[in-house]
Amino acid sequence: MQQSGGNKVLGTLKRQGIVMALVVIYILFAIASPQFRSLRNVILILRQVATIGVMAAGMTFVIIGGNFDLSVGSLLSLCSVLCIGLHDRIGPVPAMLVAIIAGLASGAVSGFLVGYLKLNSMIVTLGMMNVIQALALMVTNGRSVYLEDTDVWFCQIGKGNIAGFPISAVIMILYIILMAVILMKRKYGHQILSTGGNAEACRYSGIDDRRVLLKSFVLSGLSAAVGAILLSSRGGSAQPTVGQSYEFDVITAVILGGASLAGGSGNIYKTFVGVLILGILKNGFVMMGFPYYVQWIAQCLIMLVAVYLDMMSKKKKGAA
Amino acid sequence: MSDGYVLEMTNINKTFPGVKALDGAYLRVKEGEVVALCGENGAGKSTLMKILSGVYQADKGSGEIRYRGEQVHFSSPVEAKNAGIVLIFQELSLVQELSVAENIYLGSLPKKGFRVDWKKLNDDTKKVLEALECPAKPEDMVASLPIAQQQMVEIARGIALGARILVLDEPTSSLTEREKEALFRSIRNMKAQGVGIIYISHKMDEIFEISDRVMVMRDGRPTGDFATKEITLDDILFSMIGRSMDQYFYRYEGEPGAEVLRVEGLSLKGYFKNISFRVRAGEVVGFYGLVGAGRTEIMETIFGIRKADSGKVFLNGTEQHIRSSGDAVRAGIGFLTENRKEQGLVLGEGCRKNTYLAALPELTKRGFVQEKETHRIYDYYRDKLGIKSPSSEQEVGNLSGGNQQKVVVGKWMAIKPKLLILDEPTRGIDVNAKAEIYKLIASLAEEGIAIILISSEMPEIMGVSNRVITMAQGMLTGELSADEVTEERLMRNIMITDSTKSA
Repeated sequence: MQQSGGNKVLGTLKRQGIVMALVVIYILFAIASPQFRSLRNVILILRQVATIGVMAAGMTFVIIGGNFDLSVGSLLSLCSVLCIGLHDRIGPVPAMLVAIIAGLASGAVSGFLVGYLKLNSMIVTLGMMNVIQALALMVTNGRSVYLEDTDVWFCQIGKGNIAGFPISAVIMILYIILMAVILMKRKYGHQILSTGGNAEACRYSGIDDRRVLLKSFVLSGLSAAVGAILLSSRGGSAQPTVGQSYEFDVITAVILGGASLAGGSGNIYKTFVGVLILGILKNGFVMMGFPYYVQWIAQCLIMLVAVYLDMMSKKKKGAA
Repeated sequence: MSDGYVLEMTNINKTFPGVKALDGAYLRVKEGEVVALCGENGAGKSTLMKILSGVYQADKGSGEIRYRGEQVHFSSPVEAKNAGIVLIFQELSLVQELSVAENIYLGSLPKKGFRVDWKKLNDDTKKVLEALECPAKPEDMVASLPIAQQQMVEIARGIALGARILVLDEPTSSLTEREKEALFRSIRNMKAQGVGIIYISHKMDEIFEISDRVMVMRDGRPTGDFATKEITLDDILFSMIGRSMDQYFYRYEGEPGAEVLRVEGLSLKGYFKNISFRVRAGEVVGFYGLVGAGRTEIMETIFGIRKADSGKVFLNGTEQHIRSSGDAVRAGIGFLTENRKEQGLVLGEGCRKNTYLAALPELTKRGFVQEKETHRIYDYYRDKLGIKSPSSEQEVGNLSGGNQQKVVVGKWMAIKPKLLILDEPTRGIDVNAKAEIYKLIASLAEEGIAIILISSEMPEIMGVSNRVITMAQGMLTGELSADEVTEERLMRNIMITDSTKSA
């Protein structure tokens, strides 16, 4: 009995390992840097991770489906320049709508190529990454875009606070809850988990696996567009290459959150924990005065550890 | 040697923590005798073989192994092999990149000084291969040979080592009919040379063809020891499962109801041509034919996975336009596929989730899955079908084949189907689970479901179907009622000649 009790604790630790890692990393930085542990800094971290947090929630669906979406970084760029570039001409709401439509459309194209034509998602989205980057450069002629006046309500999305809490962080949290509900409670969530586990078995059970996979990319595209709104509204400006290397952060966060690279499992809340770990690393290294690129090395190491753990847990399953 | 027995294992016990794997097991093999060893999975066949070959040790004081008249005790497989006891498993252990001759004499290559005596090596190999009628040449690279010949090379290696006992574990599982015959010829040659052979197989027709004696085990105990000539299939099955054939197959004999499925002139180029048939409610219609006759492809077409070139499908008298498996499920068609692990189950997910996979749309209200309802559905079918699983969330990949198949059956019952297509529903599950599946098929028919059963096992198709439709090369070749069906008629109907094909 005692042994099984011990196993239970161990099992919980393993399942919640990522949460433990978050706590440990937070404590380490808090000890090392007094500025880091201030409440103001915690709020800053939340504001900083808002974009990645939203995008990682969408990416979780793609990875559960057994795929990758490398195009989200350049999609973030395109949607950002659309938001800012169109804001003064057609108004904030239409500009945001255009950005969202661009995100949905881009996801639909990738999703069609991967889901219906069965093309490798790495290759498809690598190509899409370049195409979308090219579009972002085309619509801006390669120049940054600015708002005439940053004192508009649009900028409050990124800069403003509600009772001392950043609006962008609130939006991120609501968005993550929405995505978590889709994954855990809605029919689509059940379908993408099963399709990622075994697409053929789903096809033979009346589930249209192609459509399910397409939708996962549409969700990822939508998330990039929402992320772009949060990002561009913060400064009231956008560079056509602002989203470069975001795909790496986003995918790292999802993998840290324990989504299986082979597909079939993943959890939005744990993805968010992964996002927080990345956010703390970025913020913490800067607070401690390291150059910003040191965090890339740390990030890579953490990613490798996460992938290794994923592999080991699968091996154990195979042996059982 | 006592009574000509080359091997005598008597009163063997083997206890694993918590399980008595063998209880008074015995096995005797004479020189030149083929003894078939039967029993369902877990009956103790492989444990007994592992004790023979020194992988496991029998319980202390439990019995003895006499080999060539002496009491022996092998403490490792190498010792057993050196003594002339050779086991050949389904997975072959040849070095793919070496020649046939090198493989056969690996570890004991004839030498001339420091160099290999290639001439002697190849000559010796040739003799062994000729004795087995194996068409491979000594110089051939093993990787270039078909599986059947590789298997013979492995047998040849045993002969070259001076094997007096050869154990073959399911040797025909990856062989074609012709290759199987070649293997049987080799077995007969070895018999003639006085080698004792232990032949483990689930395939009854092979057992009757090749064996002299049949030894049956159940739950680690010997339950039958017959001279093959004197017994019938029923005797073996009775020993294996503890009940007779009449209780083994179940057939619902009630009067069938209204027509459920009507297929008219269905054709798909390269697979099947002009297929027409009907299935009524409460009727089990068997489809019998050789592998590749097009049975599975017809069903995949009805189920919307493939698209027909021409033809019509009616359900309950209404023409259907099924373009996807989703359409088929909505129309009330269930399809248990032949590859359970690839097409039937999401192995990494729990029993409950797999059970409601196909019924998901019905369990959804405004896009939300009704969690409570899914538990109710799973509990209902778990009790009804007797699914044995530690919990509803247990990954199905960890269940036994029989329980996995019940989960698939549950998945289809959960959509409340009008028509259920079962493609090889008992493949890879043990005899008791098979009997349960047969009972289940009969009870589904009784509930008024129209059932199509595809099977390659003749006793199964004859024992369960109300009607059997035969196919050959993509065409229907006949239809036999349960009263008319005989093995000869089935065989004749599936062996269509070219002249009848063009007619």
